Amino acid sequence: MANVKKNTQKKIYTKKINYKKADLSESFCSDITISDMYFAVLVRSPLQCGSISSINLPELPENVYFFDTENIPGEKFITIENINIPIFAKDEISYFGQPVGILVGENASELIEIREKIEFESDSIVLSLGTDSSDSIPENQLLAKKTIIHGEPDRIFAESSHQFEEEYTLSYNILPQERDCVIVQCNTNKNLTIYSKSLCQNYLIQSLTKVFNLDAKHFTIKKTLSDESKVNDKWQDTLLAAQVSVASFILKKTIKLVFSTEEEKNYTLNQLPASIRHRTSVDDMGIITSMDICVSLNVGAFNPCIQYVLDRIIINACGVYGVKNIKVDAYAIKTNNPPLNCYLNWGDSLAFFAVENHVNNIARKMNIDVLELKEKNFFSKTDFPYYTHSSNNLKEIVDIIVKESDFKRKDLSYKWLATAKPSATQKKIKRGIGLAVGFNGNGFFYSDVFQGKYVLEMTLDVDGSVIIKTNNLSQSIKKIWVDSVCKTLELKPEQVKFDVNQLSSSKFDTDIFENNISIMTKLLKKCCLSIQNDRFRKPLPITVQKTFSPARKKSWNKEDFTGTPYQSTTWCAAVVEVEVDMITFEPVIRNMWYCADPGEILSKNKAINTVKTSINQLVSDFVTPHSINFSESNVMFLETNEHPKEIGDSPFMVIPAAFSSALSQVLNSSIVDLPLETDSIFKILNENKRIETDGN
Amino acid sequence: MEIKINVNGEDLCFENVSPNENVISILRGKLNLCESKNQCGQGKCGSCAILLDDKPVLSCLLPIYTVADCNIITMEYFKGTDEYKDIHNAFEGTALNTCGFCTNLKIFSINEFLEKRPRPTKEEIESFIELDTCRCVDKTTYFNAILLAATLRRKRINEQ
Repeated sequence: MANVKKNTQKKIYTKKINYKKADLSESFCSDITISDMYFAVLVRSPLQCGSISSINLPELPENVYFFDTENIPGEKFITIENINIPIFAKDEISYFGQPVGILVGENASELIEIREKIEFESDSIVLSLGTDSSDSIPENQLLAKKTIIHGEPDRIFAESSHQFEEEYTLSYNILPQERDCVIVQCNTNKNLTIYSKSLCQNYLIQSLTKVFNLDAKHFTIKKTLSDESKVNDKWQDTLLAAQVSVASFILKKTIKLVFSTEEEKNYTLNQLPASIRHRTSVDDMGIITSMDICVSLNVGAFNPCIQYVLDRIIINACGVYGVKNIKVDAYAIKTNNPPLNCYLNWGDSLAFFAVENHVNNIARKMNIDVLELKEKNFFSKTDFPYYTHSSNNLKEIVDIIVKESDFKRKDLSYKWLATAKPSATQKKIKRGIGLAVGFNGNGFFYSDVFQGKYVLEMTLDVDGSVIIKTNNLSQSIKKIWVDSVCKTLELKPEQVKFDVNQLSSSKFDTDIFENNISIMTKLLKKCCLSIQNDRFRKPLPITVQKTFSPARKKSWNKEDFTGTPYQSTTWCAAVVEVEVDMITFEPVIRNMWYCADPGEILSKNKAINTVKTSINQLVSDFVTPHSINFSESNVMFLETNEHPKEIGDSPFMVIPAAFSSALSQVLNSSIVDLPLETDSIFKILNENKRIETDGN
Repeated sequence: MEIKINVNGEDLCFENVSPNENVISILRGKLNLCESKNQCGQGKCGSCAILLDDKPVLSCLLPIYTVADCNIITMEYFKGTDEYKDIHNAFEGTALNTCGFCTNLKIFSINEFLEKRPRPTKEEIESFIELDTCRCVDKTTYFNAILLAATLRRKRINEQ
């Protein structure tokens, strides 16, 4: 045994504590232990495509079991948004690492060792599906497609004297904090209890009834705590629950499956590299006359939410600019990559990254003021996509951020410095500044999603406590809500309790899409007021239920993209000032300003820190593998009397574009891809030098 | 092999422990102390942090045999201490949002820092912040949180 150094001065802890056994809804699934629990690991396909003819298992020890598609009593797939996803693949492998079976036993590490000894025989290998250009996409690879045309973009572009074309790529993946995990208990009466953070509870129960040919009453879902990362909940939890349920149903045991770090990284992706090609014409006055935008998304093997993502990309494709002649082509291409989660903001940030970069690059290339170009082209109500939302705040936000960051002076100075004869210091260090403007849509009025309603139920109990029944809530929103309820009903914080297991009314639970702060806070206030009115008139307990029925959804037409797509819109703008050391080619963010209109601010400190956390998360991915040096961001809010809006996601819309525009100014070359690699700047400068030399 | 460890004030003896096992798997698997998470498994993220003889360490990289006869404090226990309350109240007071991965390590590190320097100077806090590799919080808020934690801690000790 190794020597152990004993710390003679160590503090002796003698106090014994009884660890609080938390309610399961307050526990992460991976933290739950149930007595006599078995463990499971997924056996994954070593092929990217083709079919597996046989799975040769090593001799399994006692109490270790293997189940595959043959063991499923009912339907061998789950159906989400009309897409059939096999529980265990066999005849048609869709991606490398697709689950083909499940190993169950008492010891998880033993199962991993057994898994490594499994051999596979394959029948045939069919050609892998690639991601070619949109012109040559085979029909079976095209998961979704949408084209929107207004005016005559092709003719206007052909006739224009200022034509610009560029392709932008954005790829970063946000890892969730909590690993995917599910626990399934099955008793001899075929009753299954599923512990999962899945928010697709309706889908889960619907799927399981078909998989086991049992009534819905046989299934109980216990919702566990989910993390607060920017990742929306996943349909993959439903698949995972079905996979473990098969084993639990047959063995009548409690089984727990937790993804390893490798599985989390490789198979729970939120976004794959995606690109947008912009082809734009501008007249001599700096008015954008036409835009032709082509979006092609590699969406992996399955993606039930892709139609929503595509629609949101189209809505956001031309950013905050009004263009009379526009064409947007959006394709979702099926590939042999692992499937993606339902991460709707994927498309939003990509769309803004592309359009803001493109407009900034146009201003740089035409040598016109970037602010002037933007302001001349800000959209009005008559422009695509025909918002009925007021965009008054947009102008104000831009004014604030331009003033605070001293953008005009810095932009002109850095432009001048880039062309002036450099001094010794200027040779060593170069600076640039970038401005990006955008918005974050809250509460997407996509008609299929809103078959149900947002519901909030509040009960004032006989003991004076309040129980709020709702969908999943983040800790920070919980605190804000507790403060709000305590203030209105004059209660103590410990008297406010939450029950997040109960309500599940919509087809897709609303949490998948968003958003507690914008819609649910409105409902919370209504519930508080109703209870306040009734509390001294009616006997306790008093229960109030408020719903949000999106009546205005009728005003959003998803076919021709007219009306109001979002329940509310958070306008935002960012300015990023970048410095590049021309010896190490290392970019440094000197300063960053961010401004948004969050409506009524419930807690200013929390709001600022939420935005700062998002910014820090974002900035750490700009350059890989090493993080970019960055000290501080200046977060400002335009305070209005509008209802509270989401702000956590809005930095994702504007900061990547502001950063790459600033870097483009430094390098005098368009930065079209994020994240950068550590040697990207060196390569770009070398390429610039080569072009300059060839030109001479 | 047999190993004796004091976990959260309780003397425990583990028999038939494999030398390959690390501390996090014992804490989570055998003792059900799940506040320490095994996230990156590479000693980077800080979610597995514990106090080993009052020093914050990453338990995912700690073979079990190296902690024989040592004192381990996990977040479950630490949450019941006044030191934790000072730090937690400071985080609340400054609305510091951590990413979730690094929270345990941040709290244990601040505790160790304030034990050594009950009245930290601006420079000392700044150099302490520089050592933190997780960049989920901005430096000003983090600075204010540490300063507030130090103040709350001194105030509490003076009152006792």
